[in-house]
Amino acid sequence: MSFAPFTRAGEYNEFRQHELRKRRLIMLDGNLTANDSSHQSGQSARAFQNGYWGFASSTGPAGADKLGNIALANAKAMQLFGGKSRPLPQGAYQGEHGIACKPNWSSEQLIEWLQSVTDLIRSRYPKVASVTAVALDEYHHKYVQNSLGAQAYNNISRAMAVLMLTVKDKDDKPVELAHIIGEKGSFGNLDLSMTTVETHLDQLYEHLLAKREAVHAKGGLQTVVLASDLAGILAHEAMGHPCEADLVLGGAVTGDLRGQRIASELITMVDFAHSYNGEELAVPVYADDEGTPAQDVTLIKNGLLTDFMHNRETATRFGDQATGNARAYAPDDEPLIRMRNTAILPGASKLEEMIADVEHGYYLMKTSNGQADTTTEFMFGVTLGYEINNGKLGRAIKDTTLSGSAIKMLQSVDAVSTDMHWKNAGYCGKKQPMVVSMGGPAIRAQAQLGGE
Amino acid sequence: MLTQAKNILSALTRAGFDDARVTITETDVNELNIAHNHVSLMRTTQSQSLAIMAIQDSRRASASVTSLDEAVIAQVITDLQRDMATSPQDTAYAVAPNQRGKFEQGPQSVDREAIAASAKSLLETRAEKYPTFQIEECAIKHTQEKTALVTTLDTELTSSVGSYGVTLMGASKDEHGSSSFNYTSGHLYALPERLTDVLDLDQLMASSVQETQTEMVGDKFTGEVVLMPMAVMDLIGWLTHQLGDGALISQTSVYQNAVGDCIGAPLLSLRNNPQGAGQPPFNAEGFVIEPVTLIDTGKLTCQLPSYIGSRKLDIAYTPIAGGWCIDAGDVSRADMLASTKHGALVGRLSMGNPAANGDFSGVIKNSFLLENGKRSKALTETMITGNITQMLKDIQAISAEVSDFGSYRLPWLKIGGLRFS
Repeated sequence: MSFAPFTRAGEYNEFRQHELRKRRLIMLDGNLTANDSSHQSGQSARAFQNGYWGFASSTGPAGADKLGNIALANAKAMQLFGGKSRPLPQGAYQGEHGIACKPNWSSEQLIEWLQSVTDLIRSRYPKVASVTAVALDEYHHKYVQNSLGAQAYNNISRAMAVLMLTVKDKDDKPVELAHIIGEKGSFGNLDLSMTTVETHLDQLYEHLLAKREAVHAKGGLQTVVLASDLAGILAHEAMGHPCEADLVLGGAVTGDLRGQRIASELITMVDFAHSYNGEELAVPVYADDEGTPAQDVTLIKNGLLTDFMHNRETATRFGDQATGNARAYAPDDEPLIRMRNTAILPGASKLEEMIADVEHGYYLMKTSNGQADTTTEFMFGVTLGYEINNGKLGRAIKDTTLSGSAIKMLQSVDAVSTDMHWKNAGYCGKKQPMVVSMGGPAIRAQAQLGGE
Repeated sequence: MLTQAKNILSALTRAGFDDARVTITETDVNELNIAHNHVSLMRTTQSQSLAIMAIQDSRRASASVTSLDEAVIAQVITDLQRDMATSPQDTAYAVAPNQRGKFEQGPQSVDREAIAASAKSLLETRAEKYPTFQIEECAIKHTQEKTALVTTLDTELTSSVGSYGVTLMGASKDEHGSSSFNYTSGHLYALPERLTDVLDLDQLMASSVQETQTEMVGDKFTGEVVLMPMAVMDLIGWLTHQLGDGALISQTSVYQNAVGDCIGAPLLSLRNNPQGAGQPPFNAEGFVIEPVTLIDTGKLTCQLPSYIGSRKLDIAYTPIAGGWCIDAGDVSRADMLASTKHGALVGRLSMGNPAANGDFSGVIKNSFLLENGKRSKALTETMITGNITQMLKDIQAISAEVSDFGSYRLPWLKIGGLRFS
């Protein structure tokens, strides 16, 4: 797979060659319930003509010209709805970027590791009723060209191990908690030594035993301290999605708020293209799948809503620069506006002091899935949290949901910690899945918590 | 395809595998996309895939690729041998035996003019009846999927399934503000003259335009919910997860030994939906799908492990493929709302994964307050908390009207005992 000649018959043409390799191994109580690998490879072409897009893809050797012609014919077929030519931004990136992966682990090695971890958990943590150990990795190779001269190679790679322990509570009901070890690159890039894993598991087990005795949180508006592990999902769900230009065009409330104060002055939030503080991030996008040079997008600066994330078309509509956020997940997917590495930037407070200052509230430490909204009303599941009483941590709370208006919540932020935690696990969902990373410091705010 | 699948199966046998399953799939999609109330993209994709599951010496591995080149297939076979080398042995590993059939259903070729006409009718209805509703994205597509599946235990299945699919997501925006987004999706054997006549699309837009002015619920209370189909799907999703491999093999399912028990209200009967548009006639394991009643007037009749899971657990195997339907009740949706003293009509639930014991708390979206039988204000920042095992038992009424989404056919459910905050 490499760069190739392609059709340039439309007002604008793109050609992408895309390879996606994935593995999934699941060991459930010592039973290997999944031992799967997949390899998708394909070519796609996209054409823009008189205001309409045409797209064509094939997993077979269809050829760039044939796909380009189908894509153009599709764009032309849409002319029955009317049509108006619109100029697209002209930026075109040339360059090749790959993540430096250490030698990967074979499936044999992964199975042995999953078995070793399962044995360790069984021998070390007597109250564990069930162990699920999962190994996942995926590798994207994309060669993107367009009629503006872009010629870009991007590689996104990540590996991840998920360890989920289950115990039974006093009513014999299951209580679960998971820990994820994940990073860009391959399994060779992860620290999966048993010494390190043991340290992670000791902490997880301690929390799980506390959760076994957990109480319901008090429902309603509460003071919450979000651990740095959670700030990323807050950034992604609460204000990330509503700042995607296609959602803004779809009616998101953010469309009327540009330049206005929507958060505390302590909040600055950025969707980073590829690097932060001089270090390459987990999802480095140097050029997006439209061949646009990728740039950082400051979504909120000191509390003011500033910019939106764009593809070429929305940039034209808003009169902004294309930002390099157009990304496609699989070989037969068209690029959509997606986040890359979205983060709230660190502040000046210390986590311990942020907790110590709370009379009654909750310290929330681990999250599951989340969802955004056009209204900026967000939610995400909380799988680990503790009460805060008079500045000290109390009892663990049962699984709950944190939600609220992102604008109200971000306006209520009164402390942001100095530390910064990045996370690269799971997928963002929006017609297609997408690999994204998210980061942030600990944050103290007011938000709605589900509960009694 | 069938010949090619058999040839690959023979190659696997020659390579020394004891058992194997080979699936070849060819998929053609023609999709028209609407973005921000305008037609934006026409998409044509052609893909093929080869999926192999192989067993040797009670060890298992599986792989899938998008190329059917001989060299690629040879490499896959080599990789499978390598990948299963250290796989734990398990005598439960097996392939589907003695399943036979040729199936053809749904429209076998695309009608692009019908797709364009549907898009046009949707845009016209939006502009005329619901101009403040913004279609953020909508896809109208035809999918043609041809599959050949063979196993070393004399299973030989082929299918050609065509269907139209529609997904729509959007929100309303007017001088008062923006509504929450809402979405729907489903499959059809034919596109109707007016697209808003199906998949509850008209109802979705009609409700959405009333949701730009919202209020919080006020004081906490315990009340009733009337769940619309998107929220009902969340309950079914959690239930079927509890009846599947992960929960059953780990012995953590709340329904571990519940076959024959009443796990739902007597009003509730839940069946699979093999006749639904776009539904595959056989599942990925290679078993033909037969009609199944999972919950019969409240009583759990079976569990849903995979074939291998059922062998491992020594319980009955029930082949399913995904779609579900709930039997209609005898109360109209209007009467259901009229009988609700204090609660909410819930369009969808936005929540984290419910806990393994069924506890959940979720934000109710696209929802309206119900007071003394009347639907009043649209709600914002409102959460409900409860337990899904209890909710299934606490169903008070099931609507006579049923919404058809192809794979799912669902009524509204009225359930009591939820905590609002």
